[in-house]
Amino acid sequence: MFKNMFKRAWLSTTRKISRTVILVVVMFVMANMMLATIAIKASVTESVKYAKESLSGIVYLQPDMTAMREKMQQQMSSGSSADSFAATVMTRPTISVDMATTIADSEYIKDYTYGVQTSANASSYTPIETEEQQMRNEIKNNSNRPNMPDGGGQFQFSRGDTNIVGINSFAFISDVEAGNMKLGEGEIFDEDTVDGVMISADLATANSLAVGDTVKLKTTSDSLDEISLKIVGIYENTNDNYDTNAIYMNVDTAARFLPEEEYNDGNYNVENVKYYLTSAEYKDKFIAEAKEKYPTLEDDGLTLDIDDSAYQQMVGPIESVGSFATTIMIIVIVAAVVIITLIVTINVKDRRYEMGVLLSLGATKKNILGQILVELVFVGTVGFILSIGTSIFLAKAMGQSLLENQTAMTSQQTSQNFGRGQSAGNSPMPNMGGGGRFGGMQMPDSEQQNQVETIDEIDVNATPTDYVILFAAGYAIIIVSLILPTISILRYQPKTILSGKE
Amino acid sequence: MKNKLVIENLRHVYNDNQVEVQVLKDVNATFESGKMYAIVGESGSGKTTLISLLSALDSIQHGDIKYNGESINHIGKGVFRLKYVGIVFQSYNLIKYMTARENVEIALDFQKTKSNEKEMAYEILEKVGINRDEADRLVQKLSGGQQQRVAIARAMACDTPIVVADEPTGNLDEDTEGKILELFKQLADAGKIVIIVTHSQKVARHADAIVYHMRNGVLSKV
Repeated sequence: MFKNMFKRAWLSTTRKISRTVILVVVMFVMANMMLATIAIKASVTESVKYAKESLSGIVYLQPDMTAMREKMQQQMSSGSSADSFAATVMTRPTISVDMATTIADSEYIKDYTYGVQTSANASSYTPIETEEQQMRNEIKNNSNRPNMPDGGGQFQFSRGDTNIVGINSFAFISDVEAGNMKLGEGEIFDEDTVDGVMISADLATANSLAVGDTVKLKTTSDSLDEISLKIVGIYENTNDNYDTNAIYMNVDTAARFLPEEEYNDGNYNVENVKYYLTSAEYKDKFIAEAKEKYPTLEDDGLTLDIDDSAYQQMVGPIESVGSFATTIMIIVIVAAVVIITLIVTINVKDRRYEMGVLLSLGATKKNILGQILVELVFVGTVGFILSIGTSIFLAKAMGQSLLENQTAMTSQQTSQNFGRGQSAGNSPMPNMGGGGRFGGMQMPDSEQQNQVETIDEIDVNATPTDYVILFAAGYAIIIVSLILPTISILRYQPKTILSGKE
Repeated sequence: MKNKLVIENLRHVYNDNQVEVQVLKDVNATFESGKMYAIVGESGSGKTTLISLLSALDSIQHGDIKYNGESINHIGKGVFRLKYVGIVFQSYNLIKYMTARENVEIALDFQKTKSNEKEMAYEILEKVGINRDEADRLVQKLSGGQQQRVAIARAMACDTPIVVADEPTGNLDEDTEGKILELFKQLADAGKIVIIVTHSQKVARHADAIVYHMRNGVLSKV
């Protein structure tokens, strides 16, 4: 019976050449599209995996500015007193160093950073005259006028003339991460550096300071302590509006400049708390873990925000290509099922007498179904094999074209977003995520984004697994396409089939 | 002992536009091996329905058909078609993309013939007057008479004890008709039950057959 079935299938396929050629072409086109999409999807998966491995996300622990703004708006609309309103504005949520380090104790974190920002007054050198300095001098002069409310000569600045920036590593300074700032001379400080600081090249030149020299600064607290610091390095900053007077040091050193009440026995408040994830995909797990450690985190007005923009920038276009490939694959599969079903339907209708005759000769319905299946598998196999030679070229061209379109779209969107971001985040305060000590709206500044290149090339290659998937999917499509038309005929009695009354 | 094909109280009803039409009315008949039978009747008399039931191409509604005492339903329609009955159709119903030999070989395959099927097919075709050259042609390229011979050869290849033919000479000229009927006679002489359905009295006489007459679904021996 099987020999008979294969013999009939072979004769039918080889003698009905035009039908066979049409089917081979359909299978060939289908296989090309399918293999192309399978290969593109596989390449996308590889690229995304690479991106996940090579890029981490950053989670920011910061005051929830949206919640604060809403709270203020509520108070304004409910007509709260000026004191209450001011209290809301001034009671900005804080992050203690204990909280920052406790949250950092996580398997999802490969590194973390936080900073302390305060100010001091230079005593052993002269700060560079900046717009801020000019403004300070103007206010000082104006304060000597008799009509000033606090009286002449009594005006005191709570801020010093020099920004003290404490951070646990030079590498985590946002300007350094963005590539605008680098070490010029000497060395960078680290967590273990005692009273070692880095000053700007401009400040060093203006005051003839060099690596190894000592600078003295007075705290802004009532005690006006003078602290001596050693210059370990000189940095260069190419940012146009960077703070030339800013002095960088580690957190422990910077904390010495805090007033006693702010120092809080070592559990002082920190800013710019950033957690570098081992992989961007762990963001949700990490945030959940942090909220478990601090269940009142949100009630305290704090929020954990993810910045996976670098990851999104890198893989966004290629992930879109993957989605496109999936859509195309679905369309191809549906179209293939429809087209093959139609061809088989026409074919089966055309051959109903043959089926009737075979049934009259004693063939079983399974045997006849098997014959048509063997015929389709035969032409399908030819089409699939032929596609192996061509599909990879189609896949490369299709993948690259889709990726170029997506990359162009993403670039357009990024430039639009960048324009908006610049106008919103432009701040005179140096290097601390665009925010100052009290104006400190930490805008996630997508530090990695500047360093990351979008994946704009796709290396599409079909692996043996892709071919196995193609053949399996192709045969599955054939079987699905075969069932309906064949069953619709074979459910009838042979007499009905032979009389053409089915 | 002779093989017997017995029809018992066979009734068959068609639904024609929701109107029941009784095409066979309590048909009874017995056919024996080594004899040729002709069922004669006009179009619409129920002959084709009867032959479809005899060859298990359709399901029996009422009554029974038994071969050597065993019901077709018991034997199984598929098995009955495979092992007991060879059918020759009016329109030949050959498989068009095959040669004459391949059409016969397919039937031999179904019978699981152990010997060389190709040679056997040639031999059977030669018996019905198709030479090797003609046997290797696609059936579409053969004349109507040749195609009917191939159809008979295919029925012969099945080597079944019953051969049923529906208007086997309907499309043939008189000379070819005579030769084809002679082939059926030879099959009957070889011990098979041969039943020919025809609307032509002339064919029935020519075949020297036992004639049954079918009128309005009633079968009667002439």
